[in-house]
Amino acid sequence: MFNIAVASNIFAVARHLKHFYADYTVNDSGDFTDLYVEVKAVGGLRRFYKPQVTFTFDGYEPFAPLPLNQAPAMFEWGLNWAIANTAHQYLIIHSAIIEKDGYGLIMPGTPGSGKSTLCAALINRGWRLLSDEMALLSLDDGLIYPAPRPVSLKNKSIQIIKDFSAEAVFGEVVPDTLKGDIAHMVAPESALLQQSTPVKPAFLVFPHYQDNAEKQLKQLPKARALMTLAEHAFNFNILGEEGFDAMANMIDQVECYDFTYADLATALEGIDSLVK
Amino acid sequence: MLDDHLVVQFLRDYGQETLHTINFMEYPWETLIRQSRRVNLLSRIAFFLRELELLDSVPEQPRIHFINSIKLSDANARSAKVEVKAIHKALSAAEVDFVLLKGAAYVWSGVDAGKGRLFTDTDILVTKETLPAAERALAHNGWFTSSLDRYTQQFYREWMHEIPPMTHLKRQTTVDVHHTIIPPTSRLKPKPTKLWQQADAMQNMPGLFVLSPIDMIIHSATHLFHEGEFDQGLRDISDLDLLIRQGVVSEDKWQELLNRSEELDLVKPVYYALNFSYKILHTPVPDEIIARARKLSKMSYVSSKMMDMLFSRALATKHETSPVKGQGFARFLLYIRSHWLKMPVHLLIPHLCRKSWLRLTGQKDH
Amino acid sequence: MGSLKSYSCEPETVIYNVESGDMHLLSASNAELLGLINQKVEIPHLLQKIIDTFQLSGSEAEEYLFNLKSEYRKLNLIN
Repeated sequence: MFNIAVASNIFAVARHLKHFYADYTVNDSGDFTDLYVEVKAVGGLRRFYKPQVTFTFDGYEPFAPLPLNQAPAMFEWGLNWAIANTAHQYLIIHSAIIEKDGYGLIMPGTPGSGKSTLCAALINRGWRLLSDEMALLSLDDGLIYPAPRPVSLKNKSIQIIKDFSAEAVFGEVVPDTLKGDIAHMVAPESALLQQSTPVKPAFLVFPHYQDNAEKQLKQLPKARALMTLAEHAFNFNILGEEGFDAMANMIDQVECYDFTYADLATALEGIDSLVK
Repeated sequence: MLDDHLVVQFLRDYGQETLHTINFMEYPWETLIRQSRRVNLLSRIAFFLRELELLDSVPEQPRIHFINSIKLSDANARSAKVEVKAIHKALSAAEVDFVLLKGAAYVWSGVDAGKGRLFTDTDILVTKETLPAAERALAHNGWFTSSLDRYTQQFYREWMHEIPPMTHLKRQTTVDVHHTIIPPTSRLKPKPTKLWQQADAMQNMPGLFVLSPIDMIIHSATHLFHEGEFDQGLRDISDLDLLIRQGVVSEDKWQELLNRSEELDLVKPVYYALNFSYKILHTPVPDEIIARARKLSKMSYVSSKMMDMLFSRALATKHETSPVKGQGFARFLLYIRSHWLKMPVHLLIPHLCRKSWLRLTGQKDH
Repeated sequence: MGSLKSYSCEPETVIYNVESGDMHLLSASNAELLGLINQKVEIPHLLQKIIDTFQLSGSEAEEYLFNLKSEYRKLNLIN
């Protein structure tokens, strides 16, 4: 869990925070804050011509400015960046991490894998969200700790999930970002209610979306899985030996799969079958 | 003004060995972390806390930040060792000797200035004669000159008499190859050969050197007070503070430092270094040595007072928790000044205009 | 070269170079040979191991060891 302080002069960001973070705990002024971030509209003459937004972490700007209408998305990306660059008490894996019946399921996110869509669908069907972007594997106890945030979806996935789950609550669609159209979905209640409950990793599943493919869960040799997963760990090189040990221990404990699927319904069946 | 910056106070306490007396429960850790992160000193501060076995006295939440920042500097040190070994392998095959400079040198040689030190590029010094062979050897082993535009390449080679930084294809790390310690187009002309004469050879790595402790102080001083990059000003002052405390081991070493600065024609930056290290971090430099250095630098009282004011403002940590009036302007003036020191005037204006243009149109690398 | 760590799950082994952070995927047998080479085990013993593991002749084993060592040297896994 992280304590964040956000400063912004952009109405859309305030609205985004109200919409998505209304149920998060508000800290007292005396509490320790881990990360100070600012999402500000670029001032001066720039305000009148193709206005832009900047993200700053304690005075440092990690990204080039973006069009102003992408401010809420920039806040989310920036916050991910800030966490990935400071939270080295964890091995941070770029993946979705969800839980059911006490089993943690990690789904690394290669582009085109459909990880985000799968994750969004699963958490609307009984799985608890710990994170849709970053699995925080504790170096101390080998458990994965939650950091639930709004779930980001792109392009076609947005409508797919809206169709899939009538109760899903979405923010507005931001068109034409570098990643396409983006929208955020509010994480189901269970995510925030159980945000202090870590999970024991049980399954590592690399999803592959393939048109017309047969649904298939294929066991993955663990040594190979370790090599591949290391590429998905943001801070693997920073942690050095500690990171390798944590990752090797985790791989040893979990079942590793390559998962091919062609549509959501059968995909959910396939994933659910793991915990039956 | 500088006196109430938390980072400065902390470093002074470390230097005076009074760090253990702070009130660990009440201390504003959050502000210290934010300020020191901003000036790239978080890892160093964390290192000091660990060194003095005080980390456990820090409350848990801030403690995690300190521990994590040590992981960063440890990773940096590991990567630096890999780099230096690879550079050594490439250059020794071509029989090119080199001197390690700055961060990489501190970490490799184990001096105090390497504690919690973060750095990106590896800086090395070769002789002017071996520069082409060095460039070839590096290119042969996987480093390449990044695709800088033609103007910048020309700027480096013809006007500044340097080669552009080289980046390793696989590791994406950068080595900066110098043949002088300040740009050859500067007014001051320290003779690099003199540095070589006093350089220390590294065991088991024939052809690899680091500067002598006194020369490390002089080089660090020159880099800070000549180059104009004050964003990391306090970090550089901290380096100087540690280099001076460790390098000047006896009374006569002070005079040796002054003599050597004179010999290298670098008295002015060394004067500033001694003056500001003393003023900001209370480095134990005798008043009389500072006075002697100022006299040797031949600066008038008025200009020394003005530089005093400019540097004090510029060196302060730029952070919302520690605003300093006039800092932006002071840094700007010093930036212009450092370019003036580095380049003849007829080169200066076109170069600065181009840099501003690149920055304002959002093109990053300049 | 520094120290090496490994993670084994038949039939493959991952070797991690602590100093450089590089990771390599080797067959379990080759990884075992790597360990033996680094422990400075004598050549005849190494050759016998290769003969037994891969069912090679004496001279084939010598060639195998030679190639393996030069590959490991390139990857910075042996000195």
